[in-house]
Amino acid sequence: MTADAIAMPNSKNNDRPLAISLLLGASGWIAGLFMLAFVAALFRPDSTAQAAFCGITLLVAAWGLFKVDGDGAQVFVAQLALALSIAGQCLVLYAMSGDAHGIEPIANAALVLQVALALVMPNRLHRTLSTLFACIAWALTVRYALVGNPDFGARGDAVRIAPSLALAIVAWLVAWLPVVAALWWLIRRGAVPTLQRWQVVVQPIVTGFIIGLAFATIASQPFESWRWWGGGEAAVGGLVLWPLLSALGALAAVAAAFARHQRGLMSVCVVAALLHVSHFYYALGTSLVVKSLLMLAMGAAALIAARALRPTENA
Amino acid sequence: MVGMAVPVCMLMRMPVTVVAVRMVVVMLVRVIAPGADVRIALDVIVMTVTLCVGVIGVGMSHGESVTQQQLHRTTIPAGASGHPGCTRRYRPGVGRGYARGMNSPDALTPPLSPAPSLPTPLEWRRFGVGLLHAAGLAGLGAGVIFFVAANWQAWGVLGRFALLGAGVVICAGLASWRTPPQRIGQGALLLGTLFIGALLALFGQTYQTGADLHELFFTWAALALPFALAALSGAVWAVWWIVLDVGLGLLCGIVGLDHLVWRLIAGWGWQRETVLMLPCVVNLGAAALFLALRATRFADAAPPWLSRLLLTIGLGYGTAAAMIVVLDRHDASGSALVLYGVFSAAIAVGTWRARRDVFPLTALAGSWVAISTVALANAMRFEDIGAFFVVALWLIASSTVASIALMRWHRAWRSATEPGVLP
Repeated sequence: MTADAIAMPNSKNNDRPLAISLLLGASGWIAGLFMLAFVAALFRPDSTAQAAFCGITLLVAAWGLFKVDGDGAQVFVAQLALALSIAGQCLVLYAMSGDAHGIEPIANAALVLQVALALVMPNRLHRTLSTLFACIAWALTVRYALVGNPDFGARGDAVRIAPSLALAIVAWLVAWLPVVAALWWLIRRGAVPTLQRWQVVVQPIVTGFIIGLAFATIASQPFESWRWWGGGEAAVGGLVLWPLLSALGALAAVAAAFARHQRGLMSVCVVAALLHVSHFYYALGTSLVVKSLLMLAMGAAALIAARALRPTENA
Repeated sequence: MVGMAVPVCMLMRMPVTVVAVRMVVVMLVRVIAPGADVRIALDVIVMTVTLCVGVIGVGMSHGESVTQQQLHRTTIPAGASGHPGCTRRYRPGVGRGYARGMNSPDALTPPLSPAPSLPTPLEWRRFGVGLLHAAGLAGLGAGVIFFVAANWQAWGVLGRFALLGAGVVICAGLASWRTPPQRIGQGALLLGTLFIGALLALFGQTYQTGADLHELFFTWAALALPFALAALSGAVWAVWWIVLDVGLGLLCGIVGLDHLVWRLIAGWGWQRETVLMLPCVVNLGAAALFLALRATRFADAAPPWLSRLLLTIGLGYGTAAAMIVVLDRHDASGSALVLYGVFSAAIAVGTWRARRDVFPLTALAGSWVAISTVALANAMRFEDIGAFFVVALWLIASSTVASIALMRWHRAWRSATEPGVLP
C-alpha cells in the first residue's frame, strides 16, 4: 500500500531538458517566496501552532495538486503546487524550530522535513529540490555536530577553530561519504527489479544527490573559516583543504551524471568543480605557494593517471 | 470573492463541499487567529480550495484520457483487445486501474521508466581518461596562476618571468610537435592561454603599470587569440571568450561612464543600459558564428555547448540592461529595451526556423520571465498584500506557458530528427 502510494506511474516528462527544468524550478521557488510573504502578511502566523497549521495546509494542498498532475502534463498545476509547497515548507520549518536558538536545530528540522518531502511529494522536480535541500541540511547538521555553533563575539569575530589536517579530512568524509555511498548504491542497484518499480522516486532523488554532491559541500564549510566583516586572520588549520575535497566531490558528481547519461548535469557539475577551485584560492589557512604546489602536483598526477589508463587500440 | 467562488463550485457540482469548507475555515480561523480578518481569510482559502478541487476534478479526467491514449499508443499490440483498430469495445475500467497505479495484468503494466543502463567498462575507462586529462590540465593551470598570485619573494623578478615565459614557449613547442586536433597539442595551447594571463598579471604586479584591470583582460585576449585559433578546440575557445567577457564586463559594467573610453559614447547620450548592450551583441554574434561553423570543417572547434554558453552570457547582459530600463533607474532610455526585444525576436525566429534545439528559446523565456516579473514588482510597489500574490501568480503562469510551449516544440523537433521518438 505504501509503495503504491509513493510510487507513481511513469512520468511523461522524463525527457524534459535540464534548461526547462531549471526555468520551472527557479520560477516556482521564487514564486514560493512571494507566496510565503503573501500568506505571512495575510494570516500573521505569530505562534508556532499558527505557522504549523498554515504550513501543513499548504503542503497538503501542494501534495494534492501534485497527485493530480501524476503524468506531469499540467505544468500550471505543478508550478502552483511547487510555490505552495515552498511557502508551506518555510512555515513548517519555522514551526519546527521557532523556539530554538542557533542554526543547528533548524538544520535538523530541515533535514527531517526534506527527507519526508523527497519521499512523499509525487513530483520529480520537487523530489530533486527536496533531496538537494536535504543534502544542505545534512551538511549543516554534521558540521554543527562536529564543531558546534559559531560563537560570534561582540565585534563580529567568530571564535575560530583549527582542527588538524587528519581531523579535517575525517570530518569531511563523515559528512559526505554517506552521500557518495548512497549515490553509488542507487546507481549500481538501479537495475535491480525491486528498485525498478521505484524508479519514479529513485531517479529524481539521484539527480538531487548529484547536484547536492556538486554544490552543497560548500555548506559544510564552517562560518569561522571565512573572513567576516574584515575580522582578523582565521586559524582554520586543516579546513583549508575542504574546498579541494569539495572539488573532488564535484568530479565524483560528474562521474555519477555520466553513469546516468545526463550530459547537461555533467556540465553543471564541472562548473561546480571550478567554483570550488576558486574557493580554494581564497580559502584562508595556508599560503598560496603551498596551494599552487598542491594544485601542480595534483594536476601532474591526474595527467599521468590519464596516460596510464588510456585504452589500448585493441580495446 | 466568495460570490465568485460559490458559482464555480456549483459548476463543479460540489456545493456541499464548499459549505463544509467554509464552516471549517471559519471555526479554525477564529480559534487559531482571533484577531485575523475572517472574511479575507475565508475568501482566500475558499478560492484556493476551489481552485485545488476544480483542478483535481479536471485533472482526474484529463490524466485518465492522456494515460489511456498512451496505453493505446504504446502497449496494446495491433489487433488486440483495447487497440483502436480492434472492433471490441475498449474497457475504460482497465485504463482507470492502470492510471491510479493499481495492480494491473502484466500485459497492461505501464512502462515504468527503467533505470538507465550503466556504461560499459570501456566507456568508463574512456570517460575516466577524459576527466583525468581535463582535471590535470585545470590543476596545472590553476597551480601556475596561484603561484604567480603568491608573489613569491624567494624568486627574483627575472626568475619568475623566465619561469612563465618558459611555460608559454614549452606549450607552444608542444603544440607544434603534436599539432591540434591531437589532444596533447590542444591541452598545451589551453595551458599556454592561462600562462599568458599569468605573465601579464605578473607584469602588472611587478611594474605597477597603472593600467585598468579590463585592459589586462583585453591584452590577454589579444595575445591568446592565435592560440585559440590554432587549438581547434571548444574548451580553448571557451576560456578565451570568458577572458574577453570578463574584460567586457569590467569595461561596460564597472568602469564609470566618464572614463576615456566612454567619453565619445557619452557624447552620444548613451547610458549604462545602452553600454551593456555591447557585450550582449558581441556574445550573441559569437554564438551565431560558432553555430554557423558547425556546418563547416571546423565543426570540432565549435561544439554546441559553446554556442549555448555564449548565448546565455549574451542574454544575461541583455537582461541586465533591460532590467535597468524597467526599473527606471537614472532616467534610463528605452532604446536598450527595444534593441534587446529586437534581438530576442530575431533569435526566436531563427530558432523556430531551424527547428533543432529548444535551448535558445528556453533561455529567452527565462530572460523575459525575469524582466517581466521585475517590471511587475516595480510597478506594484507592494503597497498591499495582494501584490505578493499577483507576482507569485505571474511567475507561475508565465513559466507554465513558456514550459508547455517549449516542451511541445522539443518533442516535435525531436520526433522529426530522431527516429522512434513519439511527438
